[in-house]
Amino acid sequence: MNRKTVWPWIAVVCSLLLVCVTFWGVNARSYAPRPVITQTGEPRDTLHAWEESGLRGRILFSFDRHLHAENEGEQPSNDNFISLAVKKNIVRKIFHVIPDESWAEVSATLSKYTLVKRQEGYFRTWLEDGTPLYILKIGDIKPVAEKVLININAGYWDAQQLSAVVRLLENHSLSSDFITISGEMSPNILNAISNYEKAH
Amino acid sequence: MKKRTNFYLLILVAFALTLRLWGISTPATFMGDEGMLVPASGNYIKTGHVDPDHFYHPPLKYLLLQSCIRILGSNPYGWRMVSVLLGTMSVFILFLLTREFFDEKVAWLAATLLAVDPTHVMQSRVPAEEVYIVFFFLWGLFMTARYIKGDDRCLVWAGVFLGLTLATKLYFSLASLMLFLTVLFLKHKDKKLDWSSFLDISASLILLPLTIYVLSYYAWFGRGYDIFDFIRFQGDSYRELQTVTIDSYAMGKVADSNPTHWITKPLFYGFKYRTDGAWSEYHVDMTNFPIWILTIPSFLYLVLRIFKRPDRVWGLFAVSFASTYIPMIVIKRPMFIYSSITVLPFILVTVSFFLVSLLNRLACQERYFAFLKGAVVSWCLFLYPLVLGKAVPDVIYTPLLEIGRIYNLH
Repeated sequence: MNRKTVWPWIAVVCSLLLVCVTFWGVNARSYAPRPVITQTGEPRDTLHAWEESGLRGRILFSFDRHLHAENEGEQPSNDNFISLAVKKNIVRKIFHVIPDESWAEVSATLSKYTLVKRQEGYFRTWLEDGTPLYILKIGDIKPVAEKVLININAGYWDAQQLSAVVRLLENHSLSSDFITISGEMSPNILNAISNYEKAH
Repeated sequence: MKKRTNFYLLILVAFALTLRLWGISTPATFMGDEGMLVPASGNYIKTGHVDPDHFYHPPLKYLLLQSCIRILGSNPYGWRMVSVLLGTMSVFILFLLTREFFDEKVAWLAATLLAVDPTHVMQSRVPAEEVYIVFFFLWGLFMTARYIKGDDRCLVWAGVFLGLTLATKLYFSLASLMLFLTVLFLKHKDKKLDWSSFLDISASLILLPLTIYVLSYYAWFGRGYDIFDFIRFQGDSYRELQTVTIDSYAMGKVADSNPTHWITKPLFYGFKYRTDGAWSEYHVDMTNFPIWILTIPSFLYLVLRIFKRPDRVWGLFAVSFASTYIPMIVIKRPMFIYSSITVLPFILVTVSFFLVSLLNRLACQERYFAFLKGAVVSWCLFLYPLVLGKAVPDVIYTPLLEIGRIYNLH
């Protein structure tokens, strides 16, 4: 009996469709045309800066003690602006970098939750809508291939740790097109970050 | 003869549609999960987010729901018509499937039972993904059976329908895998399994459904994610799903959540929410217990028949039933009556086969068969006001409802 073979067609069509859907996702990301450093008065103003620049589908490195991702309220506040950025599809993945001095406390709290998984020095979990969330220290940051959003709440970081952030940028472990800083930062560090912006 | 069958089938489907469509426009406000699913479907299309729904279920239901809302508008018809149509057409496909697996008499009884089943009618009147997947899986099973019987063109269609099933909810994921393995086994037994047919079956029943599953997430990908993020997301969804307990449900304290009870005892639970002393309105979840209670003897009878006279498609049927129902019993997650409609078609077919086999041993079997169908329809029509939430006379219905747990909210 003559039987038509279908698997090559299915394999080709399915592969093409899977490639297309991945491209669709990757193409949905949008970046700032050139590196930007913005200082904001309050952490919540960061959302406005991201929105104005038309950023979309991005990885966020938030250097802060608190996550600001409460799933409440439509208006941006210091408690929810990251959650709103996720809802507006500006942010798709979050790396929450905790100051070293708070790590012991954070680590002890996170260890109690069954849905928080500890992997190679960092914790992995997700927000209420499934957005991946990594919680880690500066020393545990691994190189990231794509350009990321960096948000620094300067009030929680001393000069030494901020220098470490600058080094991550300088040695290309992290590459960013949009850096937002809230709170006071020492002029030296600010200059170093500005130099990074000029160099890129 | 064929024309007459088609005519009667049309009448049965029209009857099923009437039961599901009657009074569908009320209430004109969100009912049950509609308050979650309707906004979530709009959000999913626009943003790739599914709030206020949970993120761990596959998203095809949002696409179906939103397509209907785009056509009919955001009103009770737009919210409920996908369920009405797919629920009605499930009666049609169950007839075709049962005729393929057993014979026409069993098919008539099974399709009639589904047409009037109170749980299926109730779920077909609200946007319930359980109704959608039953429709898709029955098609997938039908196409697989056709393929086993030698119609090669049906293999790809089986994969498409299994993909739509998988992309709607995961009840049938193990059953789909078991179907694939059973098809391989049967082809091997027939000495027809060469490399080419192995690849055909694998591509059609594994790769194609998985691709449809991934594609249903297209709006989620639109948030900037890639295929590696998708794989992790699936792991996260699975882990999140593990946290669902009886306390996660508003009705958790009231409802029976043990799937073994579906086939071992009559289940009625819900609320009395309005009464004038003589007539009351209820919201009741229930099983059609005179039928369901026959499941165990019927299934044992089917297994016995398979051993006595091995039939390839009966094996396919038994495997699908067992691999859908057993995981529900084994997993820790609570299962409420609405989930029972995913095994309902299998139960109805098995019970119908059992009853028809018994009747075939009697003289005047046609008369008994007509009586049986009449009795089933009358019983389900008696329950129909409870499905609609219409006022019923307490003196008649209270003895029945007292079998279960009815909370007085009046």
